[in-house]
Amino acid sequence: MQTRLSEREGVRLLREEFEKDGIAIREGVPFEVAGTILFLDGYDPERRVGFEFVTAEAGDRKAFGEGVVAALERKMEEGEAFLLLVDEWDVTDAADLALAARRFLDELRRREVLK
Amino acid sequence: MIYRVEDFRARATTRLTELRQARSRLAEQRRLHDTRRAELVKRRTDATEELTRALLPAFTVEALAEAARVTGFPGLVQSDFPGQADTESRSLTARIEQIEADPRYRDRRLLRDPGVGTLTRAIAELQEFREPFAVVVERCRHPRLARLLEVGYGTSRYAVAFWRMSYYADWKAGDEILERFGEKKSFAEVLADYLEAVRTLETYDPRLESLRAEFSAGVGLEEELGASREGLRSLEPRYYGLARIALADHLEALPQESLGDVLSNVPALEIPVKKWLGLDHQVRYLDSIRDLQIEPACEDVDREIRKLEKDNLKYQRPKNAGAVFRAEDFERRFDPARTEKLKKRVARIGEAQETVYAFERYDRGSFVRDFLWWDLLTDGRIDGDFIPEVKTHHDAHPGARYERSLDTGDLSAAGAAVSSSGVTRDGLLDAS
Repeated sequence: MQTRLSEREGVRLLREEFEKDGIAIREGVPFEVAGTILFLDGYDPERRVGFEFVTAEAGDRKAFGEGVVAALERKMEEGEAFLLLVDEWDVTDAADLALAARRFLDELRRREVLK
Repeated sequence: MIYRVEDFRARATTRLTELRQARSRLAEQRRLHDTRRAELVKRRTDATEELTRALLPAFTVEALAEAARVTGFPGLVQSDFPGQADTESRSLTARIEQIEADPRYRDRRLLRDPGVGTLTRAIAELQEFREPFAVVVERCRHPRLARLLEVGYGTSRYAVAFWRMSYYADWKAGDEILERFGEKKSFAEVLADYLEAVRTLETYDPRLESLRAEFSAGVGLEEELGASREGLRSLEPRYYGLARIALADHLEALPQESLGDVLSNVPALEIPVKKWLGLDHQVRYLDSIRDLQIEPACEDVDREIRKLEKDNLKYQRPKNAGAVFRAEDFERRFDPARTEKLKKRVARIGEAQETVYAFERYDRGSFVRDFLWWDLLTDGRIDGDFIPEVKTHHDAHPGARYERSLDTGDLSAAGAAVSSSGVTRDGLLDAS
């Protein structure tokens, strides 16, 4: 049986992939969504691009409840910010996560969010 | 005088060697018990067979009645074995006729011939038709396939946002499936083939299952017919065997003295019956020797080995290097007489085992009440009081002494009888 990535491993890996692409990632950045302040795992406030690795270990499931995620997605649909939302249950291994991060950044480039 | 650790270790090593030798001899006795017991049981079974065949030489109403009369066993007639055989015969015959008339059996060649049978060919054709579709379904097998179908991956229905990890997990799974179909350009094409294959299999497979069930039912009928014919063929030997088993059970349940009474009408059977009884006692006595002598001796030896090994280890530790032992305890523990006693105990067990196993003079047995087979088997020279049956007998006859009957032409037996005639029970070897 494969073991899931820990919060720390997942965040480190995502940070590396984003930084390789020139994104200036900062951890624990406050981010307001529908009146709730979220502290994101990685975010570049200037480019408005980042990620959140949702794990039970970090207690994220309570903060990222259904309503908050829906509001967050509305922000993304309106182009206010772009966060790769990773649920630990969707990650089979580190290579999968790295591939997803690269494809996400490619998509942002295709949409000209990133230059 | 005192003894030191070096003395302890030297004596313990010697004693352990002796104990292990004794243990090895006991293990050999255990092994011998198993092989000899199996041999005696086989001989007892053969003796039972010989006896019941002699008492019941044929499976006829007359022979059953005669055997029942001679053995005082009316149950042999009351069980009506010929009647039971007749009932089964009628039932099997009817079933055979029924199967032979059944089209699934009657047309077996037409239906199930391996080359041209209609069922055989229909199954082969369906298997051939379904094969390419089954290959597509098999090739699409993937842990995430069910999810891809659910969310409509590869269709316009797919609505997972690109910022969700599941979007990329779906993408990767879709690519992995697509890679298995070299000629396809997109997952949508694979999906179309997959869905068509599933629909086709849903049509073919129930039909295939039904044909296979029909085939199996026919094969089952052929097998049942074979078994029924065999049942019919073996009917008489089987019921004859059952009657002999019932007879053997009856004889086994009879007290020894009753056995003598019922067989007084057929003196020719005296020796077979005595052999059968003797073998039965040999098996039981061998079991008693193993359970009441070999096993307890093994336990005693094992216990002492464990204790010595533990103490030996204890006195190897530096903190015990200066330990001393009181002469009285030390000498009692390593008394050479204990070794001799153990050797004699093992030898006596071996002698008893050998004597019981080797006995073959069944003709000297008797059907009289209180006849003790142990004394006959051992010529009255081995104490069998460790066996409850033997002890009960001896307690009931405190003054009795085994006297061997002499038969003409057995000079060695006569010599043995003379030598044993002066032996009282007090002077017997103690086999315990």
